[in-house]
Amino acid sequence: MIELGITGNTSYNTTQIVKNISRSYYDNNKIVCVLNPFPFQSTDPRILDAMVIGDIKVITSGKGEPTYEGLTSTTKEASVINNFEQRIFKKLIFPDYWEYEGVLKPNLSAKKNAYEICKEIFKKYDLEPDRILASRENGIFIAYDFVTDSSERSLIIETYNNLETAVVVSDNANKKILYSEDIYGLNFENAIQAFKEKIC
Amino acid sequence: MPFKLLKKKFAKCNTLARLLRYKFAPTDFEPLERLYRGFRKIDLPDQWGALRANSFSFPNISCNWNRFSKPLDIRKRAGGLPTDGCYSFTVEQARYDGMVNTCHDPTPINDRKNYAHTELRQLMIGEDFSFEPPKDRPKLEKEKQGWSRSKRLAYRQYISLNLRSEIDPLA
Repeated sequence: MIELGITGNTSYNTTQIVKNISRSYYDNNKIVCVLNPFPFQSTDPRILDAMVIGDIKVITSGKGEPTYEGLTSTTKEASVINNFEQRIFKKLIFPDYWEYEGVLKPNLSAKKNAYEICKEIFKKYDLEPDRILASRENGIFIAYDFVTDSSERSLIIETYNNLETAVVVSDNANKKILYSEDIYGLNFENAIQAFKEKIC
Repeated sequence: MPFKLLKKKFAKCNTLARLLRYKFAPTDFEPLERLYRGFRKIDLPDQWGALRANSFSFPNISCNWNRFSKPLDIRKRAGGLPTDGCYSFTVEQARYDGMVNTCHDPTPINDRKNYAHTELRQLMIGEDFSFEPPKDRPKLEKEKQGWSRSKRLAYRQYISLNLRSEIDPLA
């Protein structure tokens, strides 16, 4: 077993770490993680899932292996971002028959915009899209679902070939639209707030 | 009695209305009547689950009015396949937020006749449900008193939340 102590920024990044480590506990504001042994002998923290994020320091206790500071991405974060990239640029399905109906395939600008939106929302709010699809309105459709015992909501974002972007939040259980807004830039603050707001 | 009035009187009988190719006005639609639309398996996300708002366009979409058709008739429409599925929503739902009106539009006999053919046509701000927007009205941009992108997306999401699946697609 390798025992690691992690210090530094305790924002969502830390949550990511805790999620991806088999066991963890807090000790003097440090998160101490106990990891299962790996099939090969190495104490390099980069091989551990989601060990190094942003300005977090990773300090190994025990054999005194390297301390990493200021690394900008993790294997977990990189894999999530890579996943968007694949789904947007390579795996996007566009039904052939839509083309006969005059629907345009999403262009490269719309795809790049969709990628930037997914990345921004993941980095800022730790949300991963549940569906990335082509839209009949000439663009890309991105959906996030939020399901609890008391509510079921969707955050829908569409970005179009002309680079316009729209967002809608719906209450799926009550079949209502809660919020809609045209987006300029990457400001999703109000939409995310409506999406995560608890139903009284 | 003028022919038009006589025709309107006959139109109360569905069979006569069909025979006379009577064209109904938007106000003749009952709020709880249903509109049928076709879809394919590829319209479903990852080819499973429910239809999502990405599969709808706004507006100017064609439907079949349930007063004169059944869900299976969707397969006989122009461009339809014998494997197509069918979903439906009500006239009231189609008129969500006053954005769209239901317009009866029987296709010509010498074309591919479909008496139940109905179009959802975009209303401009200020137009009410008694008004029949012209056929092939272009998509009106926000600047021309149309609806914003987010309003259109909200409309499509509303329809996707409220639709009812009538027949599953076979392919």
